[in-house]
Amino acid sequence: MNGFAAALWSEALKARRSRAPWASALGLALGPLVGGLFMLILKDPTWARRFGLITAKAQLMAGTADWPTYVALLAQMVAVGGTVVFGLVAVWIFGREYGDRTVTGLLALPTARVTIVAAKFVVVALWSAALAVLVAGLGLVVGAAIGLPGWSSGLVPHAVARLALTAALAIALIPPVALAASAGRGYLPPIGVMFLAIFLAQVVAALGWGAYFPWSVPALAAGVAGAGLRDLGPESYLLVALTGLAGIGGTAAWWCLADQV
Amino acid sequence: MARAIVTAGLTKCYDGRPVVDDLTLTVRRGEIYGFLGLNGAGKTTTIRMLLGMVRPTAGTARLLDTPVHPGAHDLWARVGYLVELPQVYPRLSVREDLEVVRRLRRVADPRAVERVIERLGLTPWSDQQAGTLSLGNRQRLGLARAMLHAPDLLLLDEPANGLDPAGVVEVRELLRELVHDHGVTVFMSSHVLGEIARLATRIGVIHRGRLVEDVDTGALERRRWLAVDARDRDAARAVLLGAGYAVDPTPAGPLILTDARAVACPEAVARLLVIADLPPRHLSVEQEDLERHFLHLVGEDRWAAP
Repeated sequence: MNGFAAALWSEALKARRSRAPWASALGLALGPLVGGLFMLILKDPTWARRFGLITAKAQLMAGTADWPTYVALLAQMVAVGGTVVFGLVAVWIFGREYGDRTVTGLLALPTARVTIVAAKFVVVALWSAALAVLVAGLGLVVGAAIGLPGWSSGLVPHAVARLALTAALAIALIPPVALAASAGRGYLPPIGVMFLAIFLAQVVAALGWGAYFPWSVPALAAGVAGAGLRDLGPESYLLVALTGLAGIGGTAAWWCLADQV
Repeated sequence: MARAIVTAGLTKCYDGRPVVDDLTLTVRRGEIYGFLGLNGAGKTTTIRMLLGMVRPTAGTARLLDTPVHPGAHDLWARVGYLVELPQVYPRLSVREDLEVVRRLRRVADPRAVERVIERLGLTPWSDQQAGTLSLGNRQRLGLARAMLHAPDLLLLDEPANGLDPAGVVEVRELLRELVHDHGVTVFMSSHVLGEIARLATRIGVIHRGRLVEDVDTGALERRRWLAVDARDRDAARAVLLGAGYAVDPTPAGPLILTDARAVACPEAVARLLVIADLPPRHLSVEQEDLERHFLHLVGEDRWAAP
């Protein structure tokens, strides 16, 4: 077994044995369920009124009750919820090594530190991708269960592409959180960085510059606030990619070069 | 003799303040080197520098004839370490934890895990989650991680931490066996003087970041003196000085004669004092005690036993 395979096996075992995968899956699974509830309210206001639910609010958030609207809602949940939950996965994978001081056991080994960092990023990316698939799969089940109208064969590739693109953009923005977890040596600094980035993303997008702020791009790609792919040029994707690469490079450099006290 | 650790002018400063200051020491292969110091003396920072976890501000370090740097992977394959309290992945079992170490250390033989579990007496807890281990068993797990790959050099920071008395003896015997039967070199830091005194073949004392003593324990044990007391201590001192003995000035307590002839022939001292009508009420040959010596070196000897 080479160094990368060994590191990947180790990181996967640590993840599997923890409660974090279940907690993250539960957190993100709420998205399709709540989205389904909104669709149900929109679809059958009489039923909703009977149960004391407010249709006006659901109308504001979701528009009409059909498959295209529901897919857009799922994509937005992956964009915003995914940025948070995927970030928390990175916080757990990287920050816990510092927070629990287990990092010391990973620093003077025949397996290079950069290999361990690479394995951690692969686990974070696969874990996040699995969560995105869960949202999509659960969304499909919920949508079918409540009998949403507007299904067509052309919808499937569109839905898959939209969700995959949004998830990929959100995943690409994980590395800076990992860097904050490593440099901040724990859990709180990266969580602070993550929420600051999300807050700024809202502000910058509201000002109309969202296409040029990496953390606004996934939400814009998902169609939040009526925006869409047409608002994003290659420079937006390039910015996201560069941000992710900078985060990967920074994290690797931190593990390899910084004093580990 | 081959050298396991060589440092030259090793220094680490934080905010301009030296935590380890110009540390130059050599540890020979097959030695058990006891690295003593008070809390905050610089022991852990030294070990972290030796392991490439902290970059020195100045100076160099070599382990097993290889310069220390984080990317010295061939070197790390030959070094085992335990830094501070061993921290564990709480939901991995002891066996899984060691399996992770085995793979990351590229040890091909999967039986290495069972062997080290047995050797460290962890068999009853091998399937228990590491997070539920007692402090002592966690320490054993930390030592098992350090020894799993049969290293040539062990760097252990406070290895007796948390162990019960039986565990302390067990680990002591294990380290002795590794050194005597397998030629392993052990560099262990501690502030538990008794443990160092029983185990180390060589001792370094670090105080406020500086190495203030580097000595063979044999040489330490050979440091002997004659303690003499009489009712009129000043008169006795004058008589002994008059006879050419070197008498250490001590503010209180017995007179200390460090001459080899006084230690070799205490009855001559007794006879001298009796003839001067100053019969000794206490006369004993004493040997250097690590605790007293250490406290003297670090300037805390107000607490030392007389």
